[in-house]
Amino acid sequence: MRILAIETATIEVGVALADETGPLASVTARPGRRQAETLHPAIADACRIARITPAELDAIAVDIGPGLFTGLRVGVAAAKALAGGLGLPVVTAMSLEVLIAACPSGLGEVIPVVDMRRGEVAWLMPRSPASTVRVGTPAELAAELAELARESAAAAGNVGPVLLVGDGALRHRELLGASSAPAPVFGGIELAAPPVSSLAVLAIAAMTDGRFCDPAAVCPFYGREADARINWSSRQGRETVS
Amino acid sequence: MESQATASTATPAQTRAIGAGIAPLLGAGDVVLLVGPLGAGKTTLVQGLVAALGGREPVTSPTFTLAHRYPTSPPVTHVDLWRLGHLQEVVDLALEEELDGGGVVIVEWGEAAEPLYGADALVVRLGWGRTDDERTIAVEARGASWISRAAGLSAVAGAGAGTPGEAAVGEG
Amino acid sequence: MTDRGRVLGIETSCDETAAAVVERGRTVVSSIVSSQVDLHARYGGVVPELAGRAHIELTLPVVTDALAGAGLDRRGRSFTDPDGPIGIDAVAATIGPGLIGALLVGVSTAKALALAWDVPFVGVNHLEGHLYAAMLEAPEAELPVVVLLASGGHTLLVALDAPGSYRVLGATVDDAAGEAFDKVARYLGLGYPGGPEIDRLAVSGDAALIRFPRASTAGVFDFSFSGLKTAVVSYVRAHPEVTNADVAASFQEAVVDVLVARTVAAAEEIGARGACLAGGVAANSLLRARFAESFAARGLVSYLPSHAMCTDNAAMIAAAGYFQLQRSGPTPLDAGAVPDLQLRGSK
Repeated sequence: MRILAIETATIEVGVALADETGPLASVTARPGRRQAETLHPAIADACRIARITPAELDAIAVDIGPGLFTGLRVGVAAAKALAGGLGLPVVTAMSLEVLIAACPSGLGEVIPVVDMRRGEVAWLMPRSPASTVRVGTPAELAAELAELARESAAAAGNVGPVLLVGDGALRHRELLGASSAPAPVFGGIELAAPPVSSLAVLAIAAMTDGRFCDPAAVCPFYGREADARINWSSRQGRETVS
Repeated sequence: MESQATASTATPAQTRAIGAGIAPLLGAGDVVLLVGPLGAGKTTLVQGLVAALGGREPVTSPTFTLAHRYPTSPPVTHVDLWRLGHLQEVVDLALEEELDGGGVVIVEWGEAAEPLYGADALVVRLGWGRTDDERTIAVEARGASWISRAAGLSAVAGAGAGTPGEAAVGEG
Repeated sequence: MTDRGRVLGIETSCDETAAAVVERGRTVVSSIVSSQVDLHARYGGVVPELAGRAHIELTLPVVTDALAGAGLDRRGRSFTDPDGPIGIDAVAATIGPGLIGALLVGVSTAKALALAWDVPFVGVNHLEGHLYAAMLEAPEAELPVVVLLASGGHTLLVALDAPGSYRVLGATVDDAAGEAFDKVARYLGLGYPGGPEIDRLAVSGDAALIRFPRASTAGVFDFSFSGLKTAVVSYVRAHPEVTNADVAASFQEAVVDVLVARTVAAAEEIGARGACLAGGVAANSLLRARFAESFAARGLVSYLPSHAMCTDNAAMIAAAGYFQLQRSGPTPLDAGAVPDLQLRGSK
């Protein structure tokens, strides 16, 4: 089984090809705003390096966020079109899950933190399902970290530090580092963005378990919802008289 | 925390001068919300602002495409929310990505973005004056970073050359 | 490219998601536009007016429908021969002008389909698409013609000298004509979009009651509508008793007057054989009548597009993509969206 994975949720654009043996090829870049310019050549390059044509693929995997809107739309649109145009299923994963998958297991609790900009981050507490993604300020996250440390200490007596990974953790390192005792430890800058090869490996497992969907059903997870109607006071000028 | 200055202008050129006066106060990540009815001079003010930051191309209305970007220093994203009906549509514009990238975002019909950006912004209210050509312009600083620049606001209010000396700056 | 020259076009520059299949830049095989109306009926649920999210959800279903209209499944293969060759020769998408978050969805979709099918990608200027919209319905038109492209976002006068060869003669320096319609309509408390509302209301108004200003511009073929919009507000503030019908009629008269006069002057300047309307404002009934009248009086042909070709659609993008592919080849995959892309002329 051959999977092409697309990662554009945060600061990195990545494409990887993988099969049951692991990653076959990957291309990554940190292109700033140029996600749309970078992604498709990276897909072509990764396929060329792996000597696999798109027609030989069995599934497409994509990171659906949370993260930055512009990149998410580029990546999700490409994944839907590739899968639709090739008649393939799509495996979706959240950026926070991919970050967790990239960390070796057994080292302790991992909390992935993605930067949402404008003073907000998204995170996932340990042993929590992906549906419980939290979006809030770094101060709110710091308070949850302190609470977690208290609970763990009360339950087990001795606890190791939690590991914080992702660009949101690095950006707010000072605040989060002082949030709890023992102080959290931080992943390196190579774990700032969800690694696309981790996404590809996750996706192989998901395909094996039958966890995939039709491309038409794939949507980004934005993490910001604002359903309110705009309460216009001045957009209309005169009272209707005729 | 807020601080306010007011002025009135008698011609579009004077409204542009107010925009030019705001320009040097702007830095990476700043939000300017323009509030006022149709024909109050919002786009006119942006014309002066973008030109003062080194913009060369004409500033046309972004109502239809919702956003125009100008390669000024700092780069300006000129946004117009007139067509929008839901706050989510403002969120979808992903303006924080522009702001985080070092840009300045100027928002026409800015009252629609107040729930998102109103706490830390320069709010410029434009209104019709006593005559067809007169406009009133009130510039209000909101949030710590803007309050610290409040001294510059009195100069802005004075930039509508030859206007009555209504400029007043005070903690509100 | 096969002899059929079948191009799949994708248009997501603003708030309509559209896809179409066009052969050799002239024959529309299928064209799907997800306007609000059929959205609710066909795709269900609440549809936001805007861009990004709606396009992400709708582009694939709309592309699927356009392919089905051309007898192809989602994989671009014939329903009658699902293991046969790909039935699309190139994929074109609007790269600008438009809203960045909206454009990126179409561009990313089109480039990915081009990769999936191993066919060329073509990035198209939306405004150039509108020029071909006119041609799609008037393949017999003798060139050169002057095209007045007036929509919510643009107002341009273009000389179309030969297929694929055009010059921009003038453009608005502030507000687009369609924007002026929308804003005046909403100011008067009418519905949105404002063009049809003003059109309807103007019938019962006195177009000669108020003499609104016709702005002159530095460029003889340029337009300015910002002052007119302000003049309307100013007049209504000073005359609260005036009826909406009279304001609508007088306002529409001023806009149409300027649009037709400039187009006539441009046609005479370049020695055009005819003149063509394009863009959403081309649906305005007074503009259509005056346009036809004015050119008939000068012995010139006028081309008035159908409603479907006035508004944003992907058939025009596919057509423009076909001619662009012929003229200058595929667009590289490292192309992005250009939100403020201008129409500069073909050379």
